[in-house]
This record gives sequence, C-alpha cells and structure tokens, in this order.
Amino acid sequence: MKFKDLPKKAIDKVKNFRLTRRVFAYPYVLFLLIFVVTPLVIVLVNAFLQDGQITFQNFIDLATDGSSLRVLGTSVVVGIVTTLICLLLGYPVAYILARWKSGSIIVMLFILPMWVNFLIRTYALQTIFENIGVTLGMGTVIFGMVYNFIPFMIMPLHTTISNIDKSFKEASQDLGASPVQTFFKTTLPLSLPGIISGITMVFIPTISAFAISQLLSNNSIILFGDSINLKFENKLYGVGSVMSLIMLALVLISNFFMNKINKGEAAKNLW
Amino acid sequence: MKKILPFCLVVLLVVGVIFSGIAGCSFAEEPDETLVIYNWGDYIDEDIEEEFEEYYESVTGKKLDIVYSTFETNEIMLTTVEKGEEIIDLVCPSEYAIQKLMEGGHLQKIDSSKISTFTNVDSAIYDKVAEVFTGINVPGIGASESMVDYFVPYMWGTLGILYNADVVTEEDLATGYGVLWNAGNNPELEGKILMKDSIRDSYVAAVMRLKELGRLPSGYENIPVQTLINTVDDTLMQAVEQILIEQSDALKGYEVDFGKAQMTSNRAYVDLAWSGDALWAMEDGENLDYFVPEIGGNIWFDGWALLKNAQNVKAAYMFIDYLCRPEIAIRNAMAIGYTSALDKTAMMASEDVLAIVEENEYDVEEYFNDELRYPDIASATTLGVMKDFGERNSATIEMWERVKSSKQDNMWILWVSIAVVGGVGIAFGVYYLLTHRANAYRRLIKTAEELAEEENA
Repeated sequence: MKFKDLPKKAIDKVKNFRLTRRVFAYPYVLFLLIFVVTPLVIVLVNAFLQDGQITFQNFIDLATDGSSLRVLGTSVVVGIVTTLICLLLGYPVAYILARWKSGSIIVMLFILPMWVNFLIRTYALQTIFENIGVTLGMGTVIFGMVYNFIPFMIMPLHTTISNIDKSFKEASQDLGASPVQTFFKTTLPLSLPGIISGITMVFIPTISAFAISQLLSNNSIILFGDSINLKFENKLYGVGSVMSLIMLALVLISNFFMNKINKGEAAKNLW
Repeated sequence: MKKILPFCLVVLLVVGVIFSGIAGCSFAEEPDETLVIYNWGDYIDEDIEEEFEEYYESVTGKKLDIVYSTFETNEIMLTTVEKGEEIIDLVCPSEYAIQKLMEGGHLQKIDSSKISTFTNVDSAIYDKVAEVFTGINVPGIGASESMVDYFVPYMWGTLGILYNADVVTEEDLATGYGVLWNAGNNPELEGKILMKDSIRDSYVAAVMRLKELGRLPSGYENIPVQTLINTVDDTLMQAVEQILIEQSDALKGYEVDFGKAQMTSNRAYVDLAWSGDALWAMEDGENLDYFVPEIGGNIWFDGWALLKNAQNVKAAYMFIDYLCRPEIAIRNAMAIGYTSALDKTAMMASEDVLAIVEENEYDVEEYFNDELRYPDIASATTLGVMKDFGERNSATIEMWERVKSSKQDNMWILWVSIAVVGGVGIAFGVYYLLTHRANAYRRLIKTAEELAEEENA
C-alpha cells in the first residue's frame, strides 16, 4: 500500500460506509480498548519497572519473599475447597430442580440474593457469625466464599441438566440399568459441560476475591487478592503488577484446561 | 448522501455518549471561586463548610464553593496528590505524609503572617515537630527545610490501648503493652484482642513490647524512644516480626475501622487505638478506658498543608485562619472526638469555647486537664513521632504480610481432608437416597403385580 493512497482510501471508507451489524460493535470495541486492554498493558509495563528502570527485580523480589507464595498457595487451596463444596452442594440441588416443573422458579430464588450487593451480604454474614458466637477464621471465610459463589455453580448445572434429552435416560433404563447406573452413565457425563463452566465460574473469582476474606476473618487471613490490594495501597506497583500477572496466568491456564476437557462434544463423554 | 447520513448518525451517537459523561455539569448558580479541600473522612464538623462559604462571601463579596473530598489512609492521599491530575488546594494528612509531600515537591511554604489566628496554635506541637522533621530536602526550595514552615497543625493525639475495665484487670494493665499480647494470661481476653491492621502502628506497639520485655537486640537497649520507633533495620525488624507472630495466637483479628464498634458492643475487650477514637468510644461504651503504657509510645499530628498547584491560595489561607479560631476548633474537636491543636489556654480564654464544651455536657476543667486528651508533649520524652519509613517501606510491608500469613502454613491439609470427607459423605447420602427410592419403587411394582395376579386368580 502506498502512502499517497491513504487519504483516498480513508475517503473511500467513509463513502462506502454502510450501517452493517459490525458497526454497532465499534463502541464496545472502543470501550474494551480503553478499559481492558490499556490497563493490562500498564500492568505489564509496571511489572518490569522498578524505580524507573527496566528490570526483573520485581519477579526476583516476589520469588524470594516467602509470604507471597504462601499466600498464593492458601488462595489456591481456598479456591479448590470452595469449588469442591460448591460442586458437591450445587449438583444435587441442580439435579433435583431440573426434574421439577417449578425448578426454574426455585433457581430464581437461589439467584435472588445476588441482587443484593455482595459486600452488604458479607457484612450481614459477619454480623450473624459474631452474634451466634462463631469465631471468625478460615472456616467462616470458606463459608462466605461458598455462600457468595454457589449460584454461579447452580446456574450452569441447572441449565445443562434440564437440557439433557430424556431419551438417553429412557434408553439406559430400557437396557436394564439401575437408577444409579443410569445417573453415572448418562446424566453425569452429559452434564460435564455444566460442571466445567460451573467450576470455572467459581474457582476463578474465588482465588481473586479479596474483601470476603478480610471481612470474615477480621483481617487475620490474607489471600492473594488481599495481598495484591496491600501492595497497590502501599504503592509497590511493581510487585503488585507481577502478582496480577500471575493471577492472569492462573485464569488463562485454568480456562485452557477447561476448554480442553470441554472440547469433545457432550455426547462423546458417554461411556 | 444516503451513505453519509447513517455514518454521521453513528458518529453522533458515539460522540454523544462520550460527551454526555463529560458534560454532565450542573445547572446550579455558578460560583465565583472554588476551594478544593482533601481531608480525612469524618474529620470535621460538616456545618463549618457552609458557614465558611457564608463568611467568605461576607468578607470578599464573592460566592465560594467548597469542593470537599475525603481519604481513608495517608497512602491513598499520597497517591492522589502525586498523580497530580486533580487540582487540590488544601490537604490534611499526618506528619510523615507531609514529609513525603515535601520531599516530592508538592507543597508550598505557609506564610504564617497571612493567618491572623496563627498564634492560637499550640507551640509545643511545633517544637516537637521541629525536633524531628528537619533537614528535609524539598526540590526547588532547599535541601534542609523544616516541616514547621509547611503545615498548620489541626488535630493531634497518641496511640495507646483502649480496654474494657470490666474484664481487664490491674495485673493485665501492669504488663503495659503486654495487654495486647495477653501477657497476664487472662482467660477472658483470649481471642478478644484487636490489633491495628497497619504496619506503622503495629511496629510501635511491637517495639515498645520488646523494650518492656528487655528483648531488644543488644545495642538497642539505650536508644531513646523517638529514635527507636523510627529504626527499621533488619535486626530490629526480625525481633519485631518474631514478637508480632507470637501475638497472633492471642488476637481476634486486625481492624482498620471497626475497632470502636467492636469495643462498644463488647465483642472485643482490648484494642490498639488512637486517642481520639478511644475517647469517642469511651463516651459511647460502658466502662471503657484508655492508656498509653508508661514505657512510651507514639504521638502524632495531623495538619493542613498548602499544595504547590493550589488555585485558590487566598481562600485556603482564610480557611486555615477560620479553623484556628477557638470557637470553630472546639466544634470540630467535639464533632470528631480528637484533640484540637490549638493551645488550651487560648481555647479556655474564649467564652464561646466554654459554652460549647458545657453544651456537650463536659466539665470544662476536666475536659482540658484530661491527660488522655492533652498529654504533656513538651516533657514527654517517652513519646516519639514516627517518620516515613522511606526506602524500608517495601521491606516493612513484606514483613507485615509474613506476620499476617504466618498461621496459614499447614492449615490447608486439614481443610482439604474435611472437604474430601464431607464430599464422600454427601455422595454416599445421595447414593443411599437413590437406591432406597429405587428399591421402594420396585417393591411397589411387585405388590401391584401380586395384587393383579391374585385378582386374575
């Protein structure tokens, strides 16, 4: 492309402008560029800056400072435990509700609390625990996480389970499978996509959550999100950015694996 | 033409959306001038803003609009000011943050001759500050500036221990800072002690506790308090980290803003608190008391500083002048619970002040002679002012994080095992329910079939 053609091309662009569907996406793309891409670039740049110099010092600082890694470990464990509990509690609920006609209304009731801001709900939870004399600590933090994120598990599960074709189940029963066998051989494998999106939607917000752990442990438990918050509050932007990048990497890795598992069409998961 | 029209439409739409945000200005009566004030949250009697606007109009004939915003920590204030995007005239941070603002070249000198009420300010505060904050390098002005020329004190106080006198015994109190460690082994205090979620405050308490116990590293024993609490070298920090980790077993948690509420509702019995918060809580709660252990502690000052890029210097000076009037100062002190930085003899000389104190149901003598509210700054060698940690800031933050996460080591094994056991339990429950129901169903069919056979027969 020659440079002198550029103005002409630009004019052509304007002249040939059509109000296609794509045009309506422009405001959002603009929004995305300003508020998502730019901050990420800033974080990336900050991760390599210390006192105005480009270095790897921030990474070294983080790796040699034992507490950040310990905090990261705790966060991942809290994330796994929360996800497990959400799955174990959420699956039976979603399964039962999918079989009821009024199920979707009851699912609405599960989602209803989410209309109240999570901070307000967490404050309420804190007060309740205090009043019934429960010591705030790791147990209450995990309770709070489960309480806040379980709707994200139930929703996708309910949708997938209620969309499973009934004939699979009927076929399995026709072939003489017991209800338990039917469940493990048809319903469970067919609901795998729901399980996976549920896990993603619970695990990722849990490891990055920060206010819940502070409120429900009187600040005595510090998770990765809290740690990043602490770094930025005290203007340690370099280390804070590195930690944000680690967070981002975690999100990407878990998304990658989830997609990998989910790639096979649902029906292939039947065995 | 047909093609251009929709294009224009889209452009208009986008531009409109963007500008509606920017141009969303009010249609109220345009003020002639504005004064931008950036202060701690809950740190002023709010009526005073409007009264000042009226006063300003009556003196200058111009309509002033006060733009008032607040911050929660000195660090948030520093970030906002250093970004330099907003025009701010006056800020009211703590002394160490003023030091940082000076070093960053964000402040201009205060010309005290422009403040007619300047003589009301307690000179003991200036003496103490002059002792500590000298030789500060202010870019563009001088390498050895004193903070005294850059701020007008507003409120001040100490850091001490707020406790519930019903629970905390004389023996506990005799341990000084040990109360925060439950050194008296009072069973009622177990898990009822709150610490500040701030490394600066916790550092003072920890250093003082080390001094009490005689556990300061060798060579540090005879350092005066003022120097000791500003010493952040590796040796002392290690000792501090150790003693703070020891403390975490006795604690209920670390608070930032909920300490007062916890104390007045008897959910906690001991709290590391600033004097103003403590005095406020003592008004509200039953049998609460406050003390600064004899061994020493931290004394702090908050004051007004004038920013370099201030756009309304005249109004800013008038505002400081206004705040330094005894009758205004006492109203602020009453509203927020902290101690005004005005000299108490100047305050007591004003009839208005006495009336306001009595109106708030205080005894005048008691109010001004209360040692909790007005400790003797001049003769207290055990009270030190904290400086900025400077380059050691990141090291202290890391240390604080290690302290707070010290108990998170092997706990996860416990939780994972509980989760696995719970999960298996639930799975078995579901399994049992399903098989049980299936069996019942089969039995039902069986009986139905038997009945049918009987009928056939």
